[in-house]
Amino acid sequence: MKDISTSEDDSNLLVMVIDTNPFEWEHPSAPLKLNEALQHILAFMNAHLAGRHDNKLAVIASHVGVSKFLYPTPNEPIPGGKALTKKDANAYQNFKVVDDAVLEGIKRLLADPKPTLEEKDLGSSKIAASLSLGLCYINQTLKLDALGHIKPRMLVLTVSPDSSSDYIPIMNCIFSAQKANIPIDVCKIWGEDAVFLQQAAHITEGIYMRPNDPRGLLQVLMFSFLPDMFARNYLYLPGQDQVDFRAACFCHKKIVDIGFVCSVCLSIFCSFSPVCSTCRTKFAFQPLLNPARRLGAKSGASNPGSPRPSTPTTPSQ
Amino acid sequence: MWEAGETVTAQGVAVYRKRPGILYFTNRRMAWVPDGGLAPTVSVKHDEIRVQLVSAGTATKVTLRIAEFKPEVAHTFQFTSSNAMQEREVIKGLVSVIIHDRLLRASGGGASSANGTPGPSGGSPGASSVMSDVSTPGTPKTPLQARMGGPGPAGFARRGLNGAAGGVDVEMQTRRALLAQNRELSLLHTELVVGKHISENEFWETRKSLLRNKAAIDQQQKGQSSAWLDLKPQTGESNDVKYVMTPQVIHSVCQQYPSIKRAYDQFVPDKLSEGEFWKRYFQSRFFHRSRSGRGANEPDDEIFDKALEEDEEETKSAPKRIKLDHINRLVDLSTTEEDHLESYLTPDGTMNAGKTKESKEAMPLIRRFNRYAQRVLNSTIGPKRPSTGPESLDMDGVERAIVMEDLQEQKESSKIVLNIQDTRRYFESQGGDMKSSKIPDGVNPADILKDFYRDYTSHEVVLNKPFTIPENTFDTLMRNVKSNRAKLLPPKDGSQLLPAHLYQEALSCHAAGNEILRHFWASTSMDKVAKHVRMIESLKKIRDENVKSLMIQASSLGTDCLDAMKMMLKPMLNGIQKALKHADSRPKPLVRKLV
Repeated sequence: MKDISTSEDDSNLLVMVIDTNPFEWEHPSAPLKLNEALQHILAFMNAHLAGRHDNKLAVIASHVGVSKFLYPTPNEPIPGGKALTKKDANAYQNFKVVDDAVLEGIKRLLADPKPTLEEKDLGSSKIAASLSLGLCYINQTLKLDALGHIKPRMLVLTVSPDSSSDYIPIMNCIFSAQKANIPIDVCKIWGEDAVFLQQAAHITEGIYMRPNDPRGLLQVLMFSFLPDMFARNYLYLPGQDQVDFRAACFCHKKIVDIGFVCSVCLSIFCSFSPVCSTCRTKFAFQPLLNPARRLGAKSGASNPGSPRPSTPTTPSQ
Repeated sequence: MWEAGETVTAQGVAVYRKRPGILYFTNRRMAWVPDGGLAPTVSVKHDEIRVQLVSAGTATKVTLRIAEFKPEVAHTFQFTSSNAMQEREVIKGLVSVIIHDRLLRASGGGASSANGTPGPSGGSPGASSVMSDVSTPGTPKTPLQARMGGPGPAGFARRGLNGAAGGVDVEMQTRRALLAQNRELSLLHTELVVGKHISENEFWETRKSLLRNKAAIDQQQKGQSSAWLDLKPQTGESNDVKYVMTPQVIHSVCQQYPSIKRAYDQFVPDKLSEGEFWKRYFQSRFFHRSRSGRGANEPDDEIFDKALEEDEEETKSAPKRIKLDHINRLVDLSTTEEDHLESYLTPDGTMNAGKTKESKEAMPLIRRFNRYAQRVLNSTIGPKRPSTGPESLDMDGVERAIVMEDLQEQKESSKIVLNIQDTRRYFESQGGDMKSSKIPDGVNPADILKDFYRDYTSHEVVLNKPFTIPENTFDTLMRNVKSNRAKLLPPKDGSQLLPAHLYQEALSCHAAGNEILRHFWASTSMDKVAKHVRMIESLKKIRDENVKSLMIQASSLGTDCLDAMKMMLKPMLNGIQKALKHADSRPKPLVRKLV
């Protein structure tokens, strides 16, 4: 485990992951448009950069089917060619560069419909890919940094629900972030709770926020996510501590409190079935009756038997 | 023929298994030597004598029968001399004294641990367990004799009866000890039993595990302490220095200094009395040498000076080679050492102690400590048993000595492969309730994208316009922060909010109430109706009297106090309420029957 002592002299690296899932943002029930949200987000980014002269920032867009770096821009086109925007004498140059890069990057992403439509799992953005990109970037920066005073953290701004196929990759990212002491903060701008990201924030000691009113996004961002690692030692910050760790049964995906667990593959079912559907283990004994009814009464095992696997020696497939 | 320090107290001409001989009774054992023999054939140590039987006074043969503990054998001796009867009576008397002493020591109150004192057992190897004293060098009889109230067999018959009835006494003692140790328990006890809510037996019925634990702890005998003994004098009001010597202390001293032990064996109790011996010990140079480095002013004392010399000699030189008897002789390399003398390897000289100047001074001390530790271990668990003859040539024993399990090849246990069909479904269900994608039906995704792009590019993102933030955002955030903070701070408990005595009273009231509730719920079965009714009465009484008085007291000290008191007693009051509701809703006919 790395040394986690923070000090006043640390510069902070903030890696932001912005979810640009068009199917969510463009949904008729969306309370906020992407433009408006970007206003708040850009202001927040500028505030972060303004905190210290050496604060660093990286922005990753998590789109459907693809995940791209918005800032720092990955490939610098010929310098000078294709002028980004006209130089504005009234704007602070550092801010302007970042803001323009982000906006341009998103525009380019949205212009290209191909990767979006190819994705089988329409409606889910690539959070796991973005998290990995971010973690690798952090690792690279830390290695390149000579003095060792950079304290990294990640902030995920998301609107999409959890993508079930991404469970393992997200968990892997979460565990590596935990090992590297990188807190992952999550702000679910609107919508239901994202359970994976809740767990991410919980494990890595980050903050999970789901503001009531998305129009107050900037205030929420400034209040909760602006303080850096050093300041967090001295502040009480808002955040949702209760994480939904409950298990869901495999057959109906509903939350169960008491259920049946296969002793071989540990999959959870709400009702007994003589064959486990995931690992094909046969259970050859009579189960106890409905556990809800029998709760409290002492019941001895009627016919304890051990489950016999169907294919004992040959590893199939 | 006899051991050092063994003296014959009585003897008689006796026949054993049709062979004539002499039966001796010494201060350590009973031994029978056949006529013309040099060593005793039968030897029964004092503590191995289980019981003795004598033939009736009118029988022709005068016999004495001694039964041992183990092995379960009995020896019969027939006295054949002219005054056979007297001899037998003398020996019988001595043996009965021995048996009586042993019974006194063994029985009598498991709670008092003083009974379990092992007398100083000899440091000789092969000493059996601590309890059965083997070859006690003159077990100090004085403390035991003082305790021996009624002499003779009549006394110990009474004791036997007491042992049976002692079960109840033991329990009372355990209860009292528990109450003495545990203050909360005693407070609860006074409140409930003295307050006539619950009877004594009921109180202890639910605490059987506590009683059992305490009884088990008390019955355990503490082993010998292995700390290095440092005798400190007890200076009383008078100026003379007093040293207390209990059998345990004597035993420790003998273990620490074997030369003292040898002297003790030799001189006590025959030539010197115990008191004399120890008095001289404390005055001797030996004692003061170990206490403070310079004991030059002590008078010469022949016993102890000799002991001092022996002791110093022992620790100056390195010990002799240890005989490791438990190595299987087939694999013992030291036996063929002579064949391998001419190797080019020099023996290891790196890990020898005692070469530097400092360690030379420390070596005797280290040696003394090591020997002492070894003796303590031996007396507690016994030395390693040397292997007997036939076993050492056994091939299995050789294998056991040579083969090391860790170096063998580990066989992989055959495993069954976990076979998950449709892994996707397995992993995706870990995430809780999943919602399907949010695309409304009938809409082409490509259209959505186009709309999105158009929306995005049409409005420009400007940062120099003021933001409109709804007003309640800040309040929500602050509430969130405050609740988080409240969760992180340690909860305030009653001891900070209420004054001390009030807090104590609330605690005891709470404990009493909970106890009664427990008894209430335990007595809901049919056969405990009377107790149930009593519990209901008690609950009502507690609620109406005790709680009310506490509330009044608290309210007199202010509303904060009252609130805190209410908070503290709330769970109990809830419980009482539920219990009374349950009691009311139960069918009443049972109560009517009793009336």
